[in-house]
Amino acid sequence: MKKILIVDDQLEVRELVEVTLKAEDYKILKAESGEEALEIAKAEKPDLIIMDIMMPGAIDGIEATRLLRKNPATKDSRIIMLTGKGQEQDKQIGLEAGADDYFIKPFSPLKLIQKVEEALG
Amino acid sequence: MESKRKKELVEQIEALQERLRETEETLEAIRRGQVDAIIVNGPNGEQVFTLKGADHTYRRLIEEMKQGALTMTPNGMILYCNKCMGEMIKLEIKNIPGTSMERLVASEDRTSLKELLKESKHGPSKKELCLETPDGMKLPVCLYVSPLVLDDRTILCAVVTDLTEQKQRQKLLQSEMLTRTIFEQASDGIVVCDASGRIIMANEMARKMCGRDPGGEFFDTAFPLRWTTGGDWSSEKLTGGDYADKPLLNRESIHGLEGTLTKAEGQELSLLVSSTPLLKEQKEVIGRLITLTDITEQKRVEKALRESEEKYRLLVALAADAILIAQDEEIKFSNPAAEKLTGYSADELSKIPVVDLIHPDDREMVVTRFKRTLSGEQAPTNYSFRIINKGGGERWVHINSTLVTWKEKPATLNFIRDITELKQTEEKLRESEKRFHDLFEHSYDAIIMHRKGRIIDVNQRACSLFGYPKEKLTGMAFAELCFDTSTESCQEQFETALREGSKRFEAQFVKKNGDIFEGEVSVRLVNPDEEIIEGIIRDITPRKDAERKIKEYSQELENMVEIRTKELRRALYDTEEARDRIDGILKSIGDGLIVTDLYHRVQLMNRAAEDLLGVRLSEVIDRSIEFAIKDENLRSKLIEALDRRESGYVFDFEIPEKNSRFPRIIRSRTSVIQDKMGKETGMITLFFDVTHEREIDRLKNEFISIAAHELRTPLTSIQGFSEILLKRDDLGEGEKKKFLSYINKQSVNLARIVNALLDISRIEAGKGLDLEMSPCDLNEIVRETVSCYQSFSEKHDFEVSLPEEPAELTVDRHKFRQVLENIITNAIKFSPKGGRIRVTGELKEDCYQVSVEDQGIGIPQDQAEKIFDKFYRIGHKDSSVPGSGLGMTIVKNLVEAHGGKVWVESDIGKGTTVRFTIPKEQSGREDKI
Repeated sequence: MKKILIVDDQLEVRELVEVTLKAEDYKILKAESGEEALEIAKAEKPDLIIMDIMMPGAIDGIEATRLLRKNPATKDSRIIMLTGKGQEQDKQIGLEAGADDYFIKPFSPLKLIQKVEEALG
Repeated sequence: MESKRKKELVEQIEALQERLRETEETLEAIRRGQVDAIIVNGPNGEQVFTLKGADHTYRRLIEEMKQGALTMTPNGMILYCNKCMGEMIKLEIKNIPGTSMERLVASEDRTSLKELLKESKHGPSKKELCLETPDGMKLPVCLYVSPLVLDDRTILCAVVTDLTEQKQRQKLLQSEMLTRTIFEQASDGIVVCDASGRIIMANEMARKMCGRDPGGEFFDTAFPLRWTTGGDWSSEKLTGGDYADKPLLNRESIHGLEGTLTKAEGQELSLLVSSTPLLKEQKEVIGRLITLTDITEQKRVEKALRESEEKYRLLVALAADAILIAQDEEIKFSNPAAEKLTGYSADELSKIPVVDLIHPDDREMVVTRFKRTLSGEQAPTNYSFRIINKGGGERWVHINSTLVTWKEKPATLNFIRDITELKQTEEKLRESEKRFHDLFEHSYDAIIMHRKGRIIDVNQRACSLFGYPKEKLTGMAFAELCFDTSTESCQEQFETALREGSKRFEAQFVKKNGDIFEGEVSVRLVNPDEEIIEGIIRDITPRKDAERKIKEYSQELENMVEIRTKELRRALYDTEEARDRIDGILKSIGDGLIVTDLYHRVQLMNRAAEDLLGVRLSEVIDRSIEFAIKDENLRSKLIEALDRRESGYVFDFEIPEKNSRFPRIIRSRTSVIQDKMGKETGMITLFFDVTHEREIDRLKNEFISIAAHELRTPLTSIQGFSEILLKRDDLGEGEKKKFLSYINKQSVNLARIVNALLDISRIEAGKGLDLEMSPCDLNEIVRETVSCYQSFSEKHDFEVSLPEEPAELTVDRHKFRQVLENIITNAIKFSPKGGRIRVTGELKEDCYQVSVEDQGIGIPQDQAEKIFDKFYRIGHKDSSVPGSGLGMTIVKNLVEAHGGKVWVESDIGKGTTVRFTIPKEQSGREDKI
């Protein structure tokens, strides 16, 4: 069973993503800040991380992605950015930080499933 | 008579001839011995002379004699002569008898013959005389004549002895004597050597030279000569000794050898030696004749002459004066100094005419003098003139010309000295003297020279000053010119001058007319030995007057100056005031302003521009604008703008800001300055700080992006959950309800955000907020709001402190709550997890104050006020913090709409406290908003 880590400061978004992916056969992990996401990723080594960008605290999604990619223990996880920052330059920054895909809020849950499958496939 | 005498004479001659013929025949017969006896008719009758017989022997004897013998009559007619006589006289014997003896004798001796004949009549006599043969040969003979009286007739018998040999012998003897004398008395030493080189003979001089008789010695031994002329002239060579066996080879003569002989007593002789071979019969060398000439004296003289010549040669060569010998208008001789003087080489000098050397102006004079000197006339010999040297230069020379003989012709010997410098010096001296004299004579000051107090010379000014003629003044005592009171003082000053050399003082003097004047005296000791003092007196009366006048004038001027100064000061004050006003205006302009001339030189710069560029006007005034601007980019931009010379040209630039990461953005606009005539005189450049405007622009852009994000967040839930609700049919009722509540909640949230944006735009547009005022307990609202957050954000520790008494104020309940929520949301946003957020409500005298204190990152002091600006977000880089950037702006607007105030207190890193007040009395509230 593949592990998916959902990182978002907003409870509702976390829940939305979780609900969306629940029908599929995944183990869902959740973090509400960059710091938490790094801890869990190190411990659980998820196959996929769905990462928000704008989060309170010292480590935002971009920084968290960079750190994950730097750490040998976590560098192999697939990362999909899921963010409200929808400008082209934001996407550029996200992909440069190490994300495999960039998905803009608001989003269609069905499309997210496709993205996740693509990422894990 | 005549013819009769002639006839007689012819008859006599014929008779005589007949007798002569008979006699001759007789003699012939006698000679041939055919006559035995001769009968002679005489006064004593006939006499018979027998020839044959007794006297025959004698006759033979006489005939055969080797001497001439003859008989003759006392008057000299030859009667008989022997054979020898005939041979001597080279005549036929038969022709001799009957001839007069006189004819046989040389004409010069005929007188002697006559005397001899006369003498011999008295007894035997002899004489030596010469016979002359028909062919002219002279034969010296001794004629011995003795008388023989025969039969009373006297016959002269003569014997003729040929003296030729005897004469020769005598001559030889005399010659030998002479040679010997010459040999002995010769002034040269003469040595004769034999073929082996041994000395046979040496004359007295040679002996003297040798110091002994060198006879028998070898030449070398006798005369050990050191040769001064080349070669080794050994004895053999000189005497021919080594040629002894080859006598014919040794025929060479050696001449002109010189050597030195040291005599026993140490005296040195210089000898000239010659050696000549002695030949026998012009063939065989039998010896050598060596002559030794003492040339010691000659040598000495030569040496002295040589030395003397050398001395003169040197003298001439080294003479500083040019020496020239001129003859026939040509230079026959010149020394090196002459070459130097004229610039011509000696060779060139010998080729150019003398006149060419003389300056054209002096030519005639010099040439005339030369000619006169040469012709022996009186002419100046010492004078000066100018020459022209090779380079065409003019030199002054002094000549000393003497008449001499050069190659047997008159010439001039000239010593010439270059006196150009001397002339120049003289000229200068003369000029200087004249100048001094002029100075002395025309000096404005009176000059009086006096010796021991007695005036010896004065200038014109002295005469005119004192009113005495020069003759009178000269000779007066200096003291006479001094005013009584000054006399003594003058005397003292003069004594000082004598001691110290010079002195300057003032004294009073008396003119001839009795006037007294003030004089400034300068005395100088000119000649200490004679105590000559030069006194320069200047009448300073006019000067004193002038000084007084000047003083008056200057006082007047000072007064004028004072008045003018006052006026100026006032004008200056007015100007300054006007300037200060303009300055003040310029300085007060918030925008930067720079005025430059057409050459970009800074003419004016206000304070704002100074601050902006970081320079002071005083540092850059009148210097190119380039010096005023440190930033290269701005400098080039500004110069480019100034070069355009157009009004309204705009460009922007950035200036780094010290306390901010963000540069200030400055917009510049240039304008052309025109004077009254419309002529361009420079440029005005204005600087506006557009940082704020730019910031607003930037914030606006950012706001759009943030607003979009903020709007997306609720939309995410709405779209996501609604899609799940629509597409999924496996959801339980509880889940469905929960998802719907999320959709609803986020819709409300979305509406709130939209409202906030609308509020802002309304505020921006200047429209008032719609407040729904109602009395509310603020304590309750605070408590409710915080508790809502407490449950919502469990990561923070909330503390609420509220007054006990109720705080009932009239407010818009929702807006008050919005204010509080916005502040708390910020506190949460900027605080770390677990941070404490304290919310305090206080009831003050005239207001209710709420404070929200967090332990967050804090706000820099300079930004504390800015947080209320629209779209301002602390730490732009920290984009992770969500927010519209409108929260605090809305807070401020809402608080102020209630008539309250909001402010921030913050410590970086420790936390921030936001406080706001709501006044108890809301009076005038409507007016404010």
